[in-house]
Amino acid sequence: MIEPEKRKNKNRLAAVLALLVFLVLVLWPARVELSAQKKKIDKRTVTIYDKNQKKFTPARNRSKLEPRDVARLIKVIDYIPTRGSGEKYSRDKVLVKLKPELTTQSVDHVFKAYQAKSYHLIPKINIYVVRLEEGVSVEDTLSALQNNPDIVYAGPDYKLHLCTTPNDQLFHYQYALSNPGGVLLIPGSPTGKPQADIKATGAWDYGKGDPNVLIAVIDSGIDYTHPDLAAKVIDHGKDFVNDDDDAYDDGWHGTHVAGIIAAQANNSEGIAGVAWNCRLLPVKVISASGEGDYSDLIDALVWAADYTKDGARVGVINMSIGGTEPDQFLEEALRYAYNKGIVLVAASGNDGTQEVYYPAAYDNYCLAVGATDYNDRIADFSNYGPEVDVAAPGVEIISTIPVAVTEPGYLPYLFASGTSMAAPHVAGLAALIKSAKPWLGASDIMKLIKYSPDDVEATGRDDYTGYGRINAKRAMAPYVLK
Amino acid sequence: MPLKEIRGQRFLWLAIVLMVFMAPGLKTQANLHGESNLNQASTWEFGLRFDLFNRGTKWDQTTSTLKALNLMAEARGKNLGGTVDLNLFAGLGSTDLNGVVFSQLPITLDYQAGRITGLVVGLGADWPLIYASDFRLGLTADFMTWIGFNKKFAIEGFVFPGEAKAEPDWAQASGGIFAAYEGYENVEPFFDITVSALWGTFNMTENIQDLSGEEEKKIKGSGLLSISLGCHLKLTEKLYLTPVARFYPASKFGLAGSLGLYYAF
Repeated sequence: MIEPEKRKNKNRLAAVLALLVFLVLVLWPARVELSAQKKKIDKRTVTIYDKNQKKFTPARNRSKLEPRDVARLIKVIDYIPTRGSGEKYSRDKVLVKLKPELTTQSVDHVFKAYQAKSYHLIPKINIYVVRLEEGVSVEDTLSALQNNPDIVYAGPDYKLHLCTTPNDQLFHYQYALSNPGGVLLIPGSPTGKPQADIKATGAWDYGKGDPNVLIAVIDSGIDYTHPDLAAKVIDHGKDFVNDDDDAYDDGWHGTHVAGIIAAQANNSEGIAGVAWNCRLLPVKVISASGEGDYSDLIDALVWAADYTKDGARVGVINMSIGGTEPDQFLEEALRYAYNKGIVLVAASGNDGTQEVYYPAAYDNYCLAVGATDYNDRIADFSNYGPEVDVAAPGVEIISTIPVAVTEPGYLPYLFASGTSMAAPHVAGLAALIKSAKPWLGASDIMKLIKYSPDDVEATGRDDYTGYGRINAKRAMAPYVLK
Repeated sequence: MPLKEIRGQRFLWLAIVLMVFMAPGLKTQANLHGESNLNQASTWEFGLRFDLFNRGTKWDQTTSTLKALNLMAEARGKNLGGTVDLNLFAGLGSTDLNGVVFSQLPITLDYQAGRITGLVVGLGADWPLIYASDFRLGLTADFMTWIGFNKKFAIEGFVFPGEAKAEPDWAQASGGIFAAYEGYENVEPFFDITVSALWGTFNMTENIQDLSGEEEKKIKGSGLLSISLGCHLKLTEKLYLTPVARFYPASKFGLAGSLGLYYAF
């Protein structure tokens, strides 16, 4: 080692020591500040294209829901679960299992050493719940605990939460969102297969939608006075049939579709829409007589694609309508909307034939949706072909209908079947994804929806359900790399 | 932070480290210490060093802990140019970055796959300024970077089999003062107080058929101040052992340790 140096260096030593003291004085407050920051359907209801008349025409089939059933349901559904803070585990507690030979005094010493504020023992299995002092990091504490030889295991106190289930009165009729299996509360009381649903409740744990993401419902209009829709419709929209700014639904189809997509959820009444927090834009192209023209649809696509209001813009367009004829003008309008980043969703048709309707058949721009039932079987009415991308429940789907057409003594809801009812489930999912990841383009969202379903028909892609029945949870939830 | 910027930061740190102890060192040291130290021959020691590393990190608004294990070959040059002790090291290291979530990807990926192996390289130096009694005091600086090897993971459960590729890296630079006691014959205890910054990136790409995305997370060490305690143990005439413990007071349980065994030539 080196020899001691001369006396004059003592002055230098004093200078270095002064520098050391200075550094400690300067850096210590920074440390304290950092610590403080830490605290811290054969019932066809799809609108079809009449070749002779060259018009869209929605078929209808209604069934009624008696108020008596609703009253019974109110008693069953009585809580509003929440997702909570979104944290994976508690920020002020850890779970610790100590070696059994430790005395009570030793246990106390161990926990005090790790800045435990308090702790209690879960008897029989010898696990301690340790509450940490404010500002003490769970991660750091666990790192330190795991190196202690007296500790068998130390882990975070993971958050427990109920699956997000809305408190809407009729939610238990919505097997499409969450299918409990067994005898279902739908007409005919059929037996359903558990989990033959789109896994909406699981998806809502990861996002409930953004009010600024609009879903344009190009259909017969929407009853914007409906109690389950009034708060969800951004404005009165556009009526291309009557050429005015009031897209009120003088039929029922558009209101039914709108309810599936985004009926107000968790409002203690009615149903829950798939896109819980997203809003709706009514666009009317189907007349009171149930007819519509391609020109109105083309006009509507362009108008909806350009629509903005107070920061909200259209992210998804649902078209539960279709015709049998291709049309290059229609294709051009679809391309226009698609190039604006809008996800286009359309029903495949309800003839049970190998003929996917337009616009659904425009594969480059549009997701073509087939219908499945409560057992994940393809609905016999669902049109099929290579253009079908995915499927969603479309048999006996309950949703909203205009109050004006509701018969006295009945609630403004009805069960209906059709690929018209399947497509809005997909549109709702597209809106949830768009809300969670607004930077994704239409193409990526379409791929995500196509690549994440449950394969319910023949293995791999088939012409009936496409890639399968959509799985909203798989599309929304993080994938854990292990 | 773009990769370019990260690399730029690294070069900046390297430049600072080199400037601190190389440029001014030769003359000042010579002046202070007369010619006595210059007359001492430079020596080189070669050996193996094992590092254990546990440090709080922040990414986005979340905190987690970066855990690293490194095994490196090291060369230590003593009294180079009569002024500076220099050490160079390179080896393999594995880093655990569990808990980083890539939410910008089309399919959000939650990394829970544990350690990733990579290459560790770095250098360090002590520049003694003052010799008083049996004490030696001066400036110290070191820089270490870890570049993780690509690690691929299968993404299952989707219509098409997918793949995710993880590419993490981090770097740490420290600079401060040290004091060593030379009064014992076979042991030289020392300590240092340094400002220590850690930064890095964790790049993740995912591919499922034609659905793909890439996201880069910036990772920052949560504490700046670090204190090290250690000693050089002379086991035999030629064999030296150096255990060191390092604490990060601002990171509560942030700690690191190393053990090196060296042979002198």
